[in-house]
Parts: sequence; structure tokens; C-alpha cells
Amino acid sequence: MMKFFYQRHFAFRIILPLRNRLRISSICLISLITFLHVTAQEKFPNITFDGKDVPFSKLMAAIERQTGYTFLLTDLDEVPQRKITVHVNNVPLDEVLNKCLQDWPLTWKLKVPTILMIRKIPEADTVGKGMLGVGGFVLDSTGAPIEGVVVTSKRGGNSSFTSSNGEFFIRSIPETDTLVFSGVNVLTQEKAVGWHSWVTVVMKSKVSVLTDVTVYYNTGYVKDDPNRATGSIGMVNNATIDRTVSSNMLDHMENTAAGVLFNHVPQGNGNTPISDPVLIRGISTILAGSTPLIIVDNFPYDGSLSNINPNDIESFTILKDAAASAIWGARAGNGVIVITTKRGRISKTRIEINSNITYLQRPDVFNNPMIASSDFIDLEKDMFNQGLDAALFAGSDPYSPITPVIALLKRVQDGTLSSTIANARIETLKGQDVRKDVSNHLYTPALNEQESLHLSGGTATNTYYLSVGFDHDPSTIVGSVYDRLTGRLDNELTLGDKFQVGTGLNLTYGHTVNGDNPGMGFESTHGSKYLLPYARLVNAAGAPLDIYADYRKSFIKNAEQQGLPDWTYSPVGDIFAEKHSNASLDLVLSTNIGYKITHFLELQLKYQYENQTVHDIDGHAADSYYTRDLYNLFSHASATGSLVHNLPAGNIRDMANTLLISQQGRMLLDFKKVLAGKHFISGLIGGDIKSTITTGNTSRIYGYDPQNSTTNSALAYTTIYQLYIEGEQGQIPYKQGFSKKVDNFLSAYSTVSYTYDNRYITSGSLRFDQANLFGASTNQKGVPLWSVGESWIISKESFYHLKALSSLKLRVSYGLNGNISRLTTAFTTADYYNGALTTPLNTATIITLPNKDLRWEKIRILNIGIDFATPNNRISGSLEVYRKNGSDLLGQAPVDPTLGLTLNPGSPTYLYSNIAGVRGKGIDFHLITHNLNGKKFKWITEWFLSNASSVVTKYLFEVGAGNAYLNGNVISPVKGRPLYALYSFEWKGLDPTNGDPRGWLGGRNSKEWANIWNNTPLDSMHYSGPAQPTYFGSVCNTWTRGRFSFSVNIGYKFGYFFRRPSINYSNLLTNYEGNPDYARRWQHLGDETKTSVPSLIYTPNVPRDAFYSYSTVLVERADQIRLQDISVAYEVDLSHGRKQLSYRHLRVYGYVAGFGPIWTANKLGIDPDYVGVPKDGKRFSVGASLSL
Amino acid sequence: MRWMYICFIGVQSVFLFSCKKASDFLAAKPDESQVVPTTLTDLQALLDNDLIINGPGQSGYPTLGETGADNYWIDTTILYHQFSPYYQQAYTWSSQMSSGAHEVNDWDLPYRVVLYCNEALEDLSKLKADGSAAYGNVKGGALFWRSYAFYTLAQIFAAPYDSIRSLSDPGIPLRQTSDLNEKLVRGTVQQTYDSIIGDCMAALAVLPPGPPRYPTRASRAAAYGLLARVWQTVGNHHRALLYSDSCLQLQSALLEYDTIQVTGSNPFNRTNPEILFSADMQDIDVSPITLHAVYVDTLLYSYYAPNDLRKRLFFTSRNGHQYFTGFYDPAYAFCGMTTAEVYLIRAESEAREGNTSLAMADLNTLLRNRWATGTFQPYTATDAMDALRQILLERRKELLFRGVRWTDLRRLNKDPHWAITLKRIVDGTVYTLPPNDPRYVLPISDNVLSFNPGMVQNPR
Repeated sequence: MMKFFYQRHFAFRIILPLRNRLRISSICLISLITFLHVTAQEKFPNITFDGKDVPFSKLMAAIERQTGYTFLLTDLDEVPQRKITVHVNNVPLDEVLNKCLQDWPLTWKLKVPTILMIRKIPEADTVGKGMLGVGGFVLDSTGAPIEGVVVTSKRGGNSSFTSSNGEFFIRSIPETDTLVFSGVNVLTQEKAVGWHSWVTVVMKSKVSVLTDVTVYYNTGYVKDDPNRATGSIGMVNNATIDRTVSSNMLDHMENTAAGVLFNHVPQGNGNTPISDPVLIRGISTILAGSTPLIIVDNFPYDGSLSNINPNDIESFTILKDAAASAIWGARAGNGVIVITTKRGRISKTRIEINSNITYLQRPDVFNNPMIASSDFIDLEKDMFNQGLDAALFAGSDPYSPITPVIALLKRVQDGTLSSTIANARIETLKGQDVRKDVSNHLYTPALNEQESLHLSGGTATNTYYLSVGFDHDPSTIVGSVYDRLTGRLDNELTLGDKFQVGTGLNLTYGHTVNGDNPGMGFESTHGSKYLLPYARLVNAAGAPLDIYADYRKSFIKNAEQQGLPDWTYSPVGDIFAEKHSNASLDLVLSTNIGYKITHFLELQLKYQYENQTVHDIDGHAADSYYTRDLYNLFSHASATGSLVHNLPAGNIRDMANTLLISQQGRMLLDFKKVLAGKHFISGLIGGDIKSTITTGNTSRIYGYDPQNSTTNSALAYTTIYQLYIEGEQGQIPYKQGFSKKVDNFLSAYSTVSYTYDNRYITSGSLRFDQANLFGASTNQKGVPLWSVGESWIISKESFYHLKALSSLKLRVSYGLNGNISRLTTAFTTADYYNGALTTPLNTATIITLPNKDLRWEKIRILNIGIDFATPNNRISGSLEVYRKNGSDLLGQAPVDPTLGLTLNPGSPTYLYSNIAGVRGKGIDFHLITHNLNGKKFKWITEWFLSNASSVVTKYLFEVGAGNAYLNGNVISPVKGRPLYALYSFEWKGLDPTNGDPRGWLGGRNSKEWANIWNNTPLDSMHYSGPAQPTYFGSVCNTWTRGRFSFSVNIGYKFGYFFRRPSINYSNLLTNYEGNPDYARRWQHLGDETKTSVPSLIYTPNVPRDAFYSYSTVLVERADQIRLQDISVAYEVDLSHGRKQLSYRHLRVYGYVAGFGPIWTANKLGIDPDYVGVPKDGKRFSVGASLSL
Repeated sequence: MRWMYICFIGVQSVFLFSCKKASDFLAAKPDESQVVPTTLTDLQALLDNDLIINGPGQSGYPTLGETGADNYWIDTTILYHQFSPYYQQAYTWSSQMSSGAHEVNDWDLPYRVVLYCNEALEDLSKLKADGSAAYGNVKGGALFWRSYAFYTLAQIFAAPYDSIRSLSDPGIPLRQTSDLNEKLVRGTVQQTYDSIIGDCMAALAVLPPGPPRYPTRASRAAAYGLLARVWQTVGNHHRALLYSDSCLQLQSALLEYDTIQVTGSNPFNRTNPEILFSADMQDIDVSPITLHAVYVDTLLYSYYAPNDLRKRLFFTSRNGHQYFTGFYDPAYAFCGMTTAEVYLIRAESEAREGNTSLAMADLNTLLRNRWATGTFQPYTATDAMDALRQILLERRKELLFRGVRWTDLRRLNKDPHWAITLKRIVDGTVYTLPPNDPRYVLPISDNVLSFNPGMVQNPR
């Protein structure tokens, strides 16, 4: 026996001294005895049952229902059919069972929650025949011990349960016997005893249909039981992901984890930052970017997140603190989101079809503030009568656009139109609101479709998962549509006991098409000129109308008479003349090999190849306004009077291609070992290599003829041409470029976790990163990033007697994560450009001067958490407090401009250096309460509450003039303040005599607006507070009645501010950008008591308007509560009672989102998520998923 | 534990084995468009960066001098108030002038040119001096542009040259390396001009013969021209004569104004044969010079004869006022050098040396190209002083809004014969700037002083 044992392991040179083995056995014996002792003391629950000649299975079912226990019948197939007659009322379980089984050769044992039934051992069989004592460990696939697995000797019939350490020991079994291991959630396994006296068995999880009870978290390196975690981990399971209907993966994550903030505000007047769409526990960097690291399965994901089909996602794991995320080292400073994709499981082939449609309401463009047409026209008339229109509404040159009202008034003045007709037309215009046309013709309701099909299954040796998905998402902006096709194939092969080989293939094709439709953002493409409030985009018959936003109508007519092609522009008619398409193809191939060197040591090799190509084509058709405009501009009359065209006719085609190739490799050794007794140690040591190469090129082709594929590229790009507009010159826009970026990483890391007695868990990790980022000296230093964590499951202590709180765990972790910015290097670097401004020579621009002390940004995270649960998890949750201190953050260190480093002329000269610090702190609270837990009716509430705030602790840049800090959208660090902060000028009301806005300068009321703007120091500015939420979370209520479930998610954000738009007269008079506040302006003495809107002045005074726009009177609290979404679902069981088919089911669901706020702190009816931009409509989805 | 040890050795050895490869892997260039400048091509590309070196658009050379000069006046009812207080103060020669917390681009941008030149010179020193034209172009170019940048700075931030006082008057910091820790001191005006002339002479020694491929690059003719301008600035007219003559030997073409078609608002383009080297004034700040919306001095405008084509090409009239359109660049305020200026330098130097006829010959050569064909009657002078008077007037009429008027005021004011007092009226208040006033030197920004505690401020 001994000999065999040694021979088996000889190759690995492991010798376990006999002495040790004996000790292990004796410990096992002691613990087993203790366990039996406890069992004997158990008080059994009472059973009520009434049955005459019924199968035993009926009683089993009744007991299971009344006690919550589960029967486990090992090799006793005939038992459930046996007939029994039992009449009991509140009789203890042991009495009931003993009575039932007294005549049968059976006995039973209880190990909560399992009732094991086994055959009685005939005494005779155990006499003689070399009896053995066999002990061992039972582990799950992660190497964790499993408690409560039943170990039965097949012949001997002896049985035992595993202890909390996964240990078991069985005395007196025949040496030729076989042990049977069975448990509630694991597949039954057999193992011949042979000559072993010590066996380790790794159990496979049972395929559980419908509900997956085993929830593991995934760090991208290891999957583990959350109970053994020391760090802060948020998990989002499949049911939660499925609740939301959207083709965008991130939508499925919102309001499903504590500490994760989603800032999804459309671009508008720029109040709330959109640069941080997802933040985990606030921001702890300034320049390095705050996006969390996204891991898909094992590797960081480099492709576009839109390539991930949410239907393929099994779960999200959010790693928030150092203990959880430090394994990712230099990239983990912002937290990590690990996406675990769906895999095949051991089962018959399963097919799942999911299909849904979503109706998107037309966005509400009336949410855009706009001056009333009548107000605007009255203003125009007044200015015309005063002779002030020329400079503002007409322009002094002959080509600047002129508004229709001014044009009419001019005609009256010239005597070519009667004033009656003109007035009648003007009155008609007064009744128009351009937003009606915009809403009806530039926006549309849309119907999105999503289909997906999965095929999965497998045997003990081979599992597979195959999926295809299709999304068709037309946008609510006319002319835009997004299509996506995804395919996924995963295969895992188990070869013998030791080898496991997996391969994966993932293919995504995404295609976006946009037309020329800026929607309400008209000004972005028309020289900052807004749509006139009374403009018409279509005529009464619905045909597109021209508008004259860039040039005067008479100028265009003249040009056309001179022989230039059509120069008119119709926003509705031009939508489809341009086609901006973006096609991306993303291919990910992965393979992994696992080799079990011994039962506790596994070697893993993983490799992933990703190839993502993106083709961008901006097709400006020959008849598009863009092409016609450029063509006409580059025309001019020659000396002889004939027209010279310097641009070829035909389409203009802009192309951009990007190719991303990423290769990642990993080699790691994973070990899990139960040391003597109650010690369990697991960990890994490994290395990663990663290389991402992104290449791109852009080009523009003029004179492209799609019919013949001919082009005309022989153009003189450096020649300065006379333009059609008198006195203007220009060069033909040249767009040619190449780029290549290389991102290389080498990392070595190790983690260790040690568990004692399932009560104390200690973890640690260490990682070294190197990248092609820094100078050699920094890389050689190899700054280690590390973490330590400790958990204490208090409720497992013998002294713990708090019945109400049956589970209590305390976690503490501390560690150092990193963050990366590629803003600077240890060398002098310069950017190369093709073509100078005035010559065709190549040029180089100095970007950085050597910074020899460059290093990773460091983020120290301290996390203290408590996990708790009441009996039966009626109330469970966690409370975490953390500190997140960023140091060595890359910041702009001010330097003497004499050094010549000026990058942005006019702004202070700086050098990027590791000089800044940010201190973050916060609280995450998560609570699940089972408010009603009836058999039929259930009501569950899930609460999330987070507080996250971070302030700058160190920043060397001198505080500049106050006006540099007005944009809350941009990080302008100030010591002691949040990164995104809202500052404004003090507001001292309106001047009662003329309605001028008044501010504060040099200790007194002031109307020197330019002086206020330029010379108010930051400490004299009013600081309102953060511009990002500091308190946020959600409450999700789910009601289930039978197969019907209904849930409502309410999200809230508090503790932040925004700036509301108001009237800016300069913009009104020059760009027609109006605001309904115009109607509330100061007009007469005394108005200053009723309004804070300054009086109208006809001479644009930029400082006056800027002062008002950025004064405290326009700052509002952004606090809000939103009804996030409502979800309903109905499950239909198609298994017709056949248990093995119970996964056959149909789920029919509905989902509504986009309700808007149910409460806002501002009482002006402004939705803080949509300030000054069209408001998204509601989304209604219905769908069904069918599993076969 | 032994197991772990073995594993650790295993993983380590794999990494060690690949160590050599690893160093290559980690040395990969993160961005192909980013270079660590090393080759001649790289360095030439730094100097060919016209946006930085020549300044069309985003960068460029000082406007403050021209802002304070007497070529224009501002409509103070509206326009004046659109300028920042800094430019309002520059316009009225305020003794309290301060940029506050704002950057002074007139200082920052020429020093950026200096950084590019220093970077090129340092990297060049690591290469073998092969005597090739390419090498000479880089070295000569870097020296030339550093010289020019220092010259433009000295005209604003250092006192006018004076053979005695310049030995003690503070000059400008003469940054010589790309080292971020270089100690910057002002030195003296003499040291400043020594450096300007030294760099330009050194450039001359290495620049290849022949005209440059592009006017954005330095050439021998440009270096001679710049030297002539610098010697004229310091009042050494003999040297100015020598170098202006050398320059015109290499490049003397003048643009016949009668051939120009007026189509756009700015009639001149960048391919003008008169341009020795192109440079523009900075267009970052909204300044009276770059806004192109100020009125030309009425008296100055009245000096142009009807047949003088400059009257038509340099100005447009709107609402009874003249706007300047004579920039030698279609979009920005040209402040480089032209052969026309060199003719004027040579003419002035000849006059000051007493060679009246040679002086007038140069003046007439220039003016013949400025007048409508067949209308020009050559000017004559009674004596050298009369020639000088005519030349200085024509210089005024030729080189307005070219960044030279301020320097001319500073140097000519030293001679009581030419000294004038400037006057402006804003909102009824009269501001004057008498000759040789300390306000002819502009203040160094508080920001720069805060980084250099020992640096002295210019008295106003």
C-alpha cells in the first residue's frame, strides 16, 4: 500500500511522512466524532402528514416542504415507490422516519439540510476481509472544501458526511470497496478504494436548471466562492442582466451594484461630465482616465464595448477594492469589471431563443429651450425700425444670411412688397415653432429588434456553447441605424483526468449609418447659427424647404445665375445625401490548456488573439450640401469672367480605417491545497504578456464617381485659391494620415489565500508590471503593486450566539493599485505630421521633454466591510467603508514659459509630472430584504446606496483666474475641492434702474463685467459644490406571484449641481440662440423684484452676457429621483411535470424605461440629465425567451 | 512549500529566458507618429514646423511693439472695449500695465522657437558634422531662428541699444539648452545683442549657398538681411550697409506692384519674391494688430501719392476709414523680412554714410516697383540729410504693420532730430508717450518673475 502511494507521486518528489498522515487521520477522527455528537443532540423539527397506502415519495416531499431539508437517496431507486401509511401530527422528524423505516433494511442520518438514506450494513459482511479506514477530502472545482457531502461505501454501506473542512473518514470498509460521493448540488461520483487510505475527490457541480445556485465571482484569474473573498466584490447575476432590454451591454449593469455610477448625459450645454460614463467608487486620477478596466473572461478587452452582445453574458463581477482588483496591478486603479460569458454545461443539448422588440418614443425636442417666435420677431422688427438689424441680423457683407423677417421688412422698405402682405406673412411666422418640424422630420419613433439563439450542452468530457445574435437598432434621429451581428462558439474538452483544452471564437460585425442630420444640434454644423425659432423645414405638403443659414438667398441666387450649381440647403432634404457609415468586424480567438500536475496544482496556458477592423466612410454625395458648398466655394470668376472650379465635381469621400491587433498570453500555476486539518491554501503565480498594435489611416478623395470608381486626386493642396466669396482665400482641405500605436505589457504576479477553519481568511497579492511606456530606468525599478486582505466570519465562532443575525462577516483590505497615462515619457518626443501649414514639408512638434522620474500612478485603497444575513437570508446585505488615496498622480506641473514648453498658446505652460494627489472616500451599502416570502407571493426589495466623494489633496498648478474654473465639465483641479466642481460669479441682483446684471468686484457691487470676468480670483468665486453626484443608488422592488413577476427600479442621485441655460443676448443677436427666459427679462422699473433675467441691450456685450450665464443665479441643485424602469415577466413551464425536462420553459417579458425624474430638487421642471438637449422618450420592450 | 519554490523558479526562468526579447518588447515606440528626434530628417522636421517657427496662425512673434506704435488708432466707442485690459493698457502705454494671471504670448511663443532650436542643436551635436547641405540647413536654421526669436524679444522686453548703458541695462534671458533646469538670468542688453549677432554669424557660416527651397527656411540671404536689421537697430550703420549689400547680392528681386490683381481682401500671397524669410505676428490674442479692424493713421495715409499703388493695395476704405490690408500673408500679420526692407536699410545706411546718390538710387529702385508703370518720377535729394528724411518717410510708408515701427521709434527717438511724442485719445483722455520713455520697454509678466525670483522687472 505504501509502496504504491510513493510510486505514484515519486515523479513529483513529494514525500508525505507517515507521521503526518497519522496525525491527519486522527484529526479527522476527532472531528467526525464531534460531528456525530452534535447530530445526536439535534432537535428535530415536527412533521405533520396524513397518508394511507401512499408512496414513500409523498412523505419525502412533505418533509422537504415542511423542513426545507432535502432527501438524498444513494443507490436506493426502489425506495420512493414503497407504500406507506402514516398519520402524524406535529411529531418530531426522527420519530416519523424511524417508524417508517423500521421494517426496511434502511437507516437515515441528518446533516442539515440533507437527509441521507442508506442501507443498513449486514454485520456479517464486515467481519474479516482486511477492513480499512479511509479518509480524505472532498473539494469543489475551485479547490474549496465542500461540507455535507455524503460518502458511502458501496459494499460496506458505511457512510459519513464531510465536515466543514471537506474531510471525511470511514471506518471498516472492505479494501475492494468503492466509495460513493453524493451531495445536493454536486454530481455523484464513485471512487474505488483500492489500497488508498487517503483520497481526494473533486466534485463537479450539478447542472442546475433554471436557477444556478452556485454563484462564483470571477476576477479574470480565478473563480471563487464569495464567502472566501476578503475584498469588495459586486456581482450581477444573469437574472438581473436579463431584466433589462438593450443592445448595449452597459445598460444592463446600471443600478445593479453598489458604488457604480453611470453618467450618461447626452452632449448638451456641458454641465455634467460625459467623460466618465462609468465610475467605480468615484475618481482617483486626474489625467489618466477614470474608465474601469474591462475584462472579458480572462483578458482585458481592447475592442469596442458595443461589440459585446449582452445575451452572451452570464454575469458581471465588479472588483472595487485592492484585495479584489490588485491582481490587475497597474491598470486596476479605477476598479475592474469582469464580464463572464456564458459557457456550455454538462447536459443534453439546450436551445434558448430570445427575441424582443423595443419601441422608442420620439425624443422630446421641446425640452430644448427656445425663445418664442413672436418674441423673436418683435425683437427683429424693433431692431429693424431702429436701423440696428444690419450688423446683427443681416451682416454687413453681401453674402451673410439674412433672416426671413428682416428680408420681408427690407422689401417693404424698398417698396417691392406691401406692408399688409408683409405683416400678414410675419404674423403667420409668429405662430410657428421650428421644433415642431424638427420633431416631425428630423426625429422619429423607432423600433429596435433583438434576436439571439443559443445552443449549449455537453458531456462529462466535452461542453459547448454556440450563439448567434442579431440587433437592429434604428435611431430616433432620422437616417441613423445600427446593426449588429454576433456569433460565439466555445468548446471545452476534458482529456482524461489531467488535461482540459478550451477554444473560443467570437465574431462581431457592427454597422452604423448616419445621414446629414444634426437634429436639434443644427448650430454645430452651421457656423454656430441656430435654427430660427420660426423657421420651416417643410412646406404644408411635407416637401423639404430650403433654409438660408449660411448664405444670403440673394447671394445664392446670384451665384446660380453666374453658373454655379445649386447652393441651397434643406435640412430635411439633405439627410440622405450624406452617408456616414462605420463598419467594424471584431474577431476574438482564444484557447486555453489546463494540465493538472497533481490534485492541487494546475498549469494553465491561455492565449487570445483579437483582430478588430473599423472602416469609417463619410460619403458626401455630389448632390449633398457639403459637397456642393465646398465645390462652389472653391470656384471663382476668372479675369475673363468665366468660372474657374478648383475642386473636381463628384462625390467627396472620407475614409478612415483602423486595425487593432491584440495578442495576449498567460502562463500560470494554480494551486489549491488543504493542509493538515483546517488549513486551506490556494493561490496562483503567473505571468502575462500583452501586445496591442493599432494602426490607422485616413484619406479623402475628391471627385469620386461611384459608378466607375474613378477619382480625381491630382489636386494642388498647398495652393491658396481665391474663393467664391469676395476677398476670401483657402486651401483645399487635405486629409491624409497614418497612425500606429503600440501598447506592450509584461506582468508577473502572484496571489495567495489562506483559510483557517473556514472562519479566518487571509489573502495577499503582488504584481509587477512593465510597459513600453516609460523610460528604461522606471521600468527597471518595477514598482510592485500589492494588496492584503483579511476576513473573519464571526458567526462561525463558538461564542457567537446572535440568532437574529445568523451570518456575520467582517472584511478588511488594504493595497496599492496603479493607473496608467500615456501622456508623457522619459524621452523628448515629437509628433510627426505630413505637410506643414504653408509648405508640403513634414513637420515635427515637440510633445514632451524628458521626465526621468515618471512612474505609475498609485492608488491606495482601504476597505472595511461587513456582510450580514438573518436566518434564511430574509435580510442580507453588506456595508462597506473605503478610502481611496491617489498619489503620484500625473498632473500638470506649472513651469516657466521661458522654457519654451508652451503647448497651448495662451494657457499656462506645464509639464506632466507625478505631482498630484486625490483623496476619495465613500460608503457602499447593499441590502436585500425578502419582505414577503409566502409560498405564492413574494416581495423582494434590493437597495443600493453609495456615497463617493473625492477631493484634490495636492496640485502644484497655481490657482488661475476664476474664469478658468467655470466649466464644471472639465477637470480643473483645486486643492481641497472635488475634481469636477461648479464655480460661478457672485450674483448681486439686477440694477433697478436699467436691469443690468450686477456682480461683485473688489468688495463692492460692480457692473464692470469684463473686469469681473477677467480679474475675479478663484477664492472670490462662489463655489456651489460638486458637478457629479456624491450620493447615488437605487431601490428595486420585485413582486412575484407564482410565475408572474413584476419589478420597479427607482434610481436616485444627490449632492451635485448644474448650471441651467438662460438668455444670452450676444448669442441671441448673432446666432439666434434664444431662450424662453427672454420673456421674463427686466423691462420696466420694478421688474428686478420679480425676475433675475437682465434687460435686453441691442449692442452685443459679451462680458455682460458671460457674467450672467456663469453667475450663481443660474446654478441649480441637480438632485433627482428617477423611475428607472419597470419590468414584468411571466414564466411558463413547458416540462409538463417531467422533472428531467424542467428546463423547458418560456419566459414572456415586458420592459419600460426612460420615464424621467419623479422628483427633482430644482422646481423649474428641468430634468438634470437632459439640460438644454432633446429628452429621450420612453422605451417599451416586449419579448420572449424560450428554452428547449 | 517546495512545490511553490519549484513553480516560482519555473516562471522566473521563463521570464529570464525571454529577458533579451523583453527589453526590445518594452522599448517599442508607443506611437509611431511620435519620434525621439535623432536623425537629421527629424531635426529638419522640427525646424520645418512653420506653425511654431514661422507662426502662421496659432503661434508667432510679438505684436506688443506694433500695438504701441503710431500706425493706427482705435475707434474707442465700441472696439476699444472689446480688447482685454492688457491690450488696452498696451494701447495707452499704461505704466500700470500688467497681464495679471494671463500668459504673455509675446514672451512665451518666441521662447518656444528657442526651445525648438536648442533641441535641434543639442541633438545635432550627437551626430557627425558631415559638412553636407542637409546638416548645414539644420544647424544654420536653428541658429538663425534662435537669433531672430531673441531679436524680436529684445525689441519688446529689453531697453533700446545704447553703446554705454547696454553694458548694464538688463537684457533678455538667453536660453541655450533644452534642459528644464537651466538657470535663466537676464544678463545685459549688450550680451543679448552679442548673442543675436553671434548666432546669426554662426548660421551664416554653415548655411548652404543658394536660395532656400521655401521662404519658411533660413538662407544666407536671410541671415545677411537679419544681420543688417540688427546692426541698424544697434545704430552701427556701417555694418548695416555691409550686410544689407551682401544680402542684396544674393537676393534682390522686388515685386512689381502693377502686376498684382486685387481679388481678395489681402492682395499679397506667400509666394512673393521679396520675402527673405517668412514670419508672422502671433494671432492668439485678440490684439489691435491681428484683429485687422483698426483704422490706419489718417496722416500716414495722406502721405501716399495717388499713383503710389500701395495706396490701393495696402488699404481698403470703409465708412470713411482705412483698414490695412498690405500684409505679406493672406491671413496673418507678416513680420518677416523682405528685400524691400533691405533696400531701405542700405539706402538709410548710405545716407548716414553721406552717399546721397547711392542712397537715392536704392530708394528709387524700390519705389519704381511701387508706383503704377510709367508714372514714377525718381526722387532727388539735396543732401544726405534730405535723403535720410525721404528714406525714413518711405520706410514708414513701406514697413507699416510689419513689426519694425516700434524698433524704429526706439532707435530714432535717440536722435532729437527724429524724435516724436506719440499721442492717443481714449474716451476724452489724452495719453502721450514722449521719446526715450521707459515705457518703450514692456514689463515682464508676473508669472515669469514668479518662477525666477532673482529676475528684475523693467521699470515703467
